[in-house]
Amino acid sequence: MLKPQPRVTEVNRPFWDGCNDGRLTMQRCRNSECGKTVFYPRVCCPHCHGADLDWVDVGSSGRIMSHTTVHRPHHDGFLSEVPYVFAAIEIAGAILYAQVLGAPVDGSSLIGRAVSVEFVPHGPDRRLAAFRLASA
Amino acid sequence: MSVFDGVCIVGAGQTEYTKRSAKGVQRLLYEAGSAALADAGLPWSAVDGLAVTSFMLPPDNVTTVAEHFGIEARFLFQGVYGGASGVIGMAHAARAIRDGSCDVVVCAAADAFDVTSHNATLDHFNGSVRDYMSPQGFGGANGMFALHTRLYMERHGATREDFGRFCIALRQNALRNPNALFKEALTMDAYLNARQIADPLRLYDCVLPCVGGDAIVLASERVAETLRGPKLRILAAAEIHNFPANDLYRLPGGFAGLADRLYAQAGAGPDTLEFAQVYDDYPVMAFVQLEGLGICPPGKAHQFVRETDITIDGAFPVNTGGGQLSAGQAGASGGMIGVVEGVMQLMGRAGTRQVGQRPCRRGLVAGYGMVAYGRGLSSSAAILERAE
Repeated sequence: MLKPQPRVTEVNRPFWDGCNDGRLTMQRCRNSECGKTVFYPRVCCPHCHGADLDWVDVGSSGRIMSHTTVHRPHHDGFLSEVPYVFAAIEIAGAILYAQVLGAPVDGSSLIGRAVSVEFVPHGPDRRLAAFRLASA
Repeated sequence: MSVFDGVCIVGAGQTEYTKRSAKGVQRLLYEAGSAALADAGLPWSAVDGLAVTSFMLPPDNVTTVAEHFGIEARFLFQGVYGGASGVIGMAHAARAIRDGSCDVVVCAAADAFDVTSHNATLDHFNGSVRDYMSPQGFGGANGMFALHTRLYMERHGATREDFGRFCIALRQNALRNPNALFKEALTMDAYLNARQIADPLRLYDCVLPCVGGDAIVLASERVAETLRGPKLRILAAAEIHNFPANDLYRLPGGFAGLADRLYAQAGAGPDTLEFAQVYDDYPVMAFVQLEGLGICPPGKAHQFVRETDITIDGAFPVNTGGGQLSAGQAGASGGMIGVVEGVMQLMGRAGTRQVGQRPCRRGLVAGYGMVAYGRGLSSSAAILERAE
């Protein structure tokens, strides 16, 4: 069953193109006094309200801020994968939500653990960012 | 003196709560509104304003509801703040009445949900959920609030048993509410060992989506004077959205950004409250409200529920009808169920679950909602008082 698909728009296209190309990209505020990383994709900077955002590579490493083991998914497209770990991941000061593949599903704490990105097939012509625990 | 002088709450009503029903949301809104108007002693023909919140209403809206019900309206409000909408709609309606725009407003919420339609609604709740959470497998609201629950436990040392104490107390309250969907007491053993949903959340941490509607009636003092029943005043009401901006996990969810304004407007502090009806979509969010609204110190709600009996007969009753966790969450009505319960308590119409020997005098109602990128964006609260 097809999982829910993101809607690709003029605002977020560089992010999704990056995922398909194996690069994790986010917006960065062009205002030199701000310069913050922005995610999810916006039309303006939500920190300084500036109009100009550039797309930049943010590397492949992040840190788990919080996580859950999903036993009852919200969509039948995930039924064959449960239980799986879903996490809030901090990258470059922004937060990205993604699955953590191969992580323990017993509920033991993963907060603060380092993770690295990979890009997994998600549907027709669509790859999605997912993560694995970095070796300690 | 109150900023809402000249405005009274004169009635409250609720439809039957059921797991399933063929009724659509318009009918549920009508039935809830009719019950509240009957409670007030007013006919629909007196109504000249509507405040409506319902996730399943589109493509209809509050304006077409006015048409549907045959109401010539001078004031309309539609809640786009999820579970914060009930309190916010009440406050907006009160301002409209105070300013002379209208005389009688029915504030109603209703939905006809089951687990499937609940998930389908949330899947497309807003752009950020649709594009950056749902495709990633967030597990719905359960997954989103599992992240908050885990963080709360790590930061403050709360345990599963602490959330269990809260859920068990609400179930005790629900047993005295004939309209609550859960009819049996909840044991700690059953709570701790319930079906896993999204670790650390299990079944009884999650609301049961259901069918129902809730409504209150606000009236100008001029109209209220013609009515026999008890009247309530809104001492204070406050809302805040996207607070703090760009900081998803700085608990407690916006309430710290409205509490000072709320109590200053009321001219009374949290120690003067006789109950609280908080938005309990998940126990962790109830904890966050108890803290943010000054009912207990920050980071100490888990200790508060260890030390304080929050059942109807306890030292500080919380969610006296069982809340959404034990009465059911009828979609957007989850933002109104606490308002209706608070009004019934203050009017002395809560039956066997009445707080206090005589009608209680002052209580707090709170709302929380519009879950978006990782958190609910909207928080609201009001302090209601029985007029002497």
